[in-house]
Amino acid sequence: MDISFWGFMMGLLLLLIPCYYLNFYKTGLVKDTLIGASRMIIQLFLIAIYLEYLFKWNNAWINLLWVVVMTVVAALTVLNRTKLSRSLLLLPALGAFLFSVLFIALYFIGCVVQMSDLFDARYFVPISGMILGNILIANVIALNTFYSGIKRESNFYRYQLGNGATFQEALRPFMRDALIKSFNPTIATMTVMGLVSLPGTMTGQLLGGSSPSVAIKYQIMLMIAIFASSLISVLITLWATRRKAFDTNGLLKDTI
Amino acid sequence: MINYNDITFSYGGNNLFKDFNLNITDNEHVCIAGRSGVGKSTLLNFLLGFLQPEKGMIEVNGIQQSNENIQLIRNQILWLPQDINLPFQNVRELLQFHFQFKVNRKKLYDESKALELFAAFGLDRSLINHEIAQLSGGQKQRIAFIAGILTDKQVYLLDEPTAALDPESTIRMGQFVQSCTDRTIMAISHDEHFQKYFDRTITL
Repeated sequence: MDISFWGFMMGLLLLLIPCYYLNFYKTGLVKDTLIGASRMIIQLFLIAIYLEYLFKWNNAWINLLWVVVMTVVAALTVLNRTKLSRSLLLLPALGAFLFSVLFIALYFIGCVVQMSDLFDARYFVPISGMILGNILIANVIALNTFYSGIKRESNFYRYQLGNGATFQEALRPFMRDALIKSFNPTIATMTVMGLVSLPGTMTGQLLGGSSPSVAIKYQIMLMIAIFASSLISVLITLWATRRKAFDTNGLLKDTI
Repeated sequence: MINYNDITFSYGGNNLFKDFNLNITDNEHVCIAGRSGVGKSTLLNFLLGFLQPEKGMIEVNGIQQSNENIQLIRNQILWLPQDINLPFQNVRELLQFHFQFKVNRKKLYDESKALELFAAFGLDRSLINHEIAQLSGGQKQRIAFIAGILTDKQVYLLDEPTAALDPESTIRMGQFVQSCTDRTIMAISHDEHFQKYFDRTITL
């Protein structure tokens, strides 16, 4: 069932409640909330227009180009949020993201949904988008934890190198921390899924008229695809960026 | 054998080293002394590959230091830095930590030897079951030293190993260093009571 114009306006009215309390407690977040909500509305309406055409054309190259553009934006966002050197790390991060998204999205569409057209816009674009959104969050947490950990505990990092640890061995405790911090939230979400919340994909499919059994199958498969792609992307990003981020003696460059 | 040949290095506009030479023979124990900021720790950082001299060459046991060889040099070294943050839960975890490195994988962790070393350094044996957070700075540094000794390295680099020790513990540390007659030791210390246990002291 479509949402009418007035129904949409009624939905927006709900924003007044958080805005009132954010203002009451002088959080300074009202302006950010309004800007954030406005950007979301405009961006999503633009995407809706774009997707209409994307679905109508259904051209593999255009779909692929769209996913590449989304990946570039995601890689830039991750580096901006982590405040790491964009000039040094953009290419490795971009390569890692692109590989993870394409590998998992095409595996999902080809082997799980078993579509004959792997680049079908209705599947390829939204599934890639969902995977990218989660890759972005996992990578921001992982990169932040990894590089800030090495900077904060540089004494310990050097202590390991100076006592014979190889570069990979000295990085291992920091890799472990990065993986724990970035994947704990996803594991927690999977653990309570269906009990505490009905997840987005499933809710969307139910609202779109799919049967609950189809909806949960998609949800389960997507959660696993998201988990796998996030882990693959984090490992490749850390591996690829560290080749640029450290000097030949294993020390973190000052420019990072 | 450790050789520093014609080392030149400046930092912050100051010439710390100009054609500096130092030769330490096999199993010799050398203490480096000097006021703060004169470049004592810098010498160790050159050897470990954490700093590069502008000019000159460093050699450890016949291996000339370079980007390609730095791992071979680090494999032979026990390095005890002055400030260490040890993110371990307990003392035993720290003692076993070095054995995870590829270079030490064929060696076996020997707890009885660790306890002998605890006694030699005047540490209570029960400390082996303690949490790292419960240790004092001096205890942490001595246990980190013991962790390194267990891996049987040929070259010891000690950076102010007695800075957090009382006089009695300093004597024990000195006696231990003196007893390591089959190890090459380069230490940094401004403690005159500790310096006397070395074959020679070089003041920068």
